[in-house]
Amino acid sequence: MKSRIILAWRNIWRNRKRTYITLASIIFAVIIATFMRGLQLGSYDKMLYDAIRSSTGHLALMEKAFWDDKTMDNSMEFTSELEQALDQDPDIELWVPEILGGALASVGNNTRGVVVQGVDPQKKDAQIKFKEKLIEGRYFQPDDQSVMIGKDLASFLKVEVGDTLVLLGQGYMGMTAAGIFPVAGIFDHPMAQFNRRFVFMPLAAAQYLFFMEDRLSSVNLVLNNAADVEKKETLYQSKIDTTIMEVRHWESMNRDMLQSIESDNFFGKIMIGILYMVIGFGLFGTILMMTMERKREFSIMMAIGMQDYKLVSQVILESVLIAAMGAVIGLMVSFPVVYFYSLNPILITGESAQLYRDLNMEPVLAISTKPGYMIAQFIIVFIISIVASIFPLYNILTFNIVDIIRGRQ
Amino acid sequence: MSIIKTLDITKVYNPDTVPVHAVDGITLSIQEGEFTAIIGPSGCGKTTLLNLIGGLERPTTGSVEINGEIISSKSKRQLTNFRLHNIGFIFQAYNLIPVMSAYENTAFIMELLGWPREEIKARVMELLEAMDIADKAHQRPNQLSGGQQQRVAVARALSTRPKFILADEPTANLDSHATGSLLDMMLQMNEREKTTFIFSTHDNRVMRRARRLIKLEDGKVVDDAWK
Repeated sequence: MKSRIILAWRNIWRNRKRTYITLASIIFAVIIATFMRGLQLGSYDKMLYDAIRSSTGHLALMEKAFWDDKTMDNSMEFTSELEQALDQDPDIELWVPEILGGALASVGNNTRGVVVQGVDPQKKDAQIKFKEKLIEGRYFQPDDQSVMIGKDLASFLKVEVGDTLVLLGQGYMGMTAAGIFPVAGIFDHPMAQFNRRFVFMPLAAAQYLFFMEDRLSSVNLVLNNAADVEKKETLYQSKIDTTIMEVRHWESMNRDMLQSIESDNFFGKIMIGILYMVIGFGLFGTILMMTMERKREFSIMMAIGMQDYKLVSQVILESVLIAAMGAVIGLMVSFPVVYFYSLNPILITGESAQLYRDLNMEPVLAISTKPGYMIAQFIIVFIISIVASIFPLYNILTFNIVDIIRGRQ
Repeated sequence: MSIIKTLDITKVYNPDTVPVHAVDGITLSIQEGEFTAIIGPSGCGKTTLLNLIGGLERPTTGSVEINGEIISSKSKRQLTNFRLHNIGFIFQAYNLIPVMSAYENTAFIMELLGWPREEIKARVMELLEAMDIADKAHQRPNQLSGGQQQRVAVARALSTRPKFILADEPTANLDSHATGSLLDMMLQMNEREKTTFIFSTHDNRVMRRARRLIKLEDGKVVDDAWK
């Protein structure tokens, strides 16, 4: 085998310029594909991570009808047994109780429909690093009767820290929920909808406002290990009354996002497919030339006793060697770049950043360092090298060696 | 003892369009240890006859028998295997593998047969020394003269001690000095290793040294003379 690899190595360097050009095209394709795919997968991971971490959790406990009809009447009773089970579960990194309600927020003549979210301030901070997003005022405390609002809402309502906000909505069982709350702080969330439409208040205050004592809209569970989701889903189904409550999986709570990822991923794969197809034709040209210009040599080899399958395997070895060299160099060049940007995500600024915010996405380009997609590039190039060899190999198998040796072909 | 027998073999090219009878009913027998030249004008069928004997082509009719085995009915793979084990080839244009050194070219067939490394080394050096090119062992074909390249080709053909060597115009591209010394070496190997040599040639220098001359014209044997 060693001598065949040496022979293959020498053969691919017979025409140095051609080999360099072929290698360059493979290296370039691998770098582009790795970077494109890394950004694509990185952005999917980030979107899902953000959605799970800051919103749905890996699992959520809620009343059965709540997901489809998010009203106070579909809230759940939060028992001390359930609270104790959640507190004692070592697989849960964080559980976040929430009250979600709609209200009109009004200051003076300015009014806007808002989403009121009652949260445990400490858990919310642990969940989304809420304190870091504060740009004015102070962070609210569990027993506060104050609220935190986004900068865009503050600007719209023309309120500042210390001003009061009137909230008017509908509480549990159709009760009128109304209250006046001072603004403790103003935050700047990377997602536009939080800045425009969200009012956060301590859980106890929200329960009081919406007549929801001992009740919650949902409890979101963030697990230490995403691989435990199914196991935990089964466990918590056994701890609740499943005739009135349910445990929702993150996939069912992020279905739209998953669908858009799937469709984006499909088009991303097509783009990479086109890129590799171009490279495939380049490699095909090289292998074909390498084969055709050595027709006589191959014929002599077969004449003196080399079996055609050994010749075929020799050509495949040469093709794979070029492809593997290109893929390895390409990955060696792209990995440090990918790794650097995984540690230092690209921050999007200016109008593009606003566009991201408007789409409720953080204006950051994250890149994935998962080895799977990098290995996939290697495998793709490997497969291309085999496919690109098929026609040249077919040629070898159909050689008329006498005609070639005698110069008739 | 007869090593090669052809029985009324013919080879017709383009049988459906313009038939060309390259070989037309040749029956001959070649004994072990012969040093035979097939001669005749261009296009008389010398190379085709060698190709038929060497199993590179199949006869249109008739049969080729090597060591009592009819090779014309073998499959493509079986023929390749047969050539590997039984026949050495020398071509007019040397046809060495350009990316291999003289040593590696000589060792090529032995490696295909899976000989042990040490045995290959000993045999290659023995042959290269016999061919007087041992000092060129690590040079590639493009660093060798035509005569030296043809000696490497002879060494490659002889390497596995085949039953016979088929040489198609082996001296056509060589000057008289290189031709003389190549023939000397081939005769030496013929005597020392009892290898049967069959040449196609129209080189008088080869004809003079051959012990048997088979003359072809229009695909037929017109003369078969022993010296």
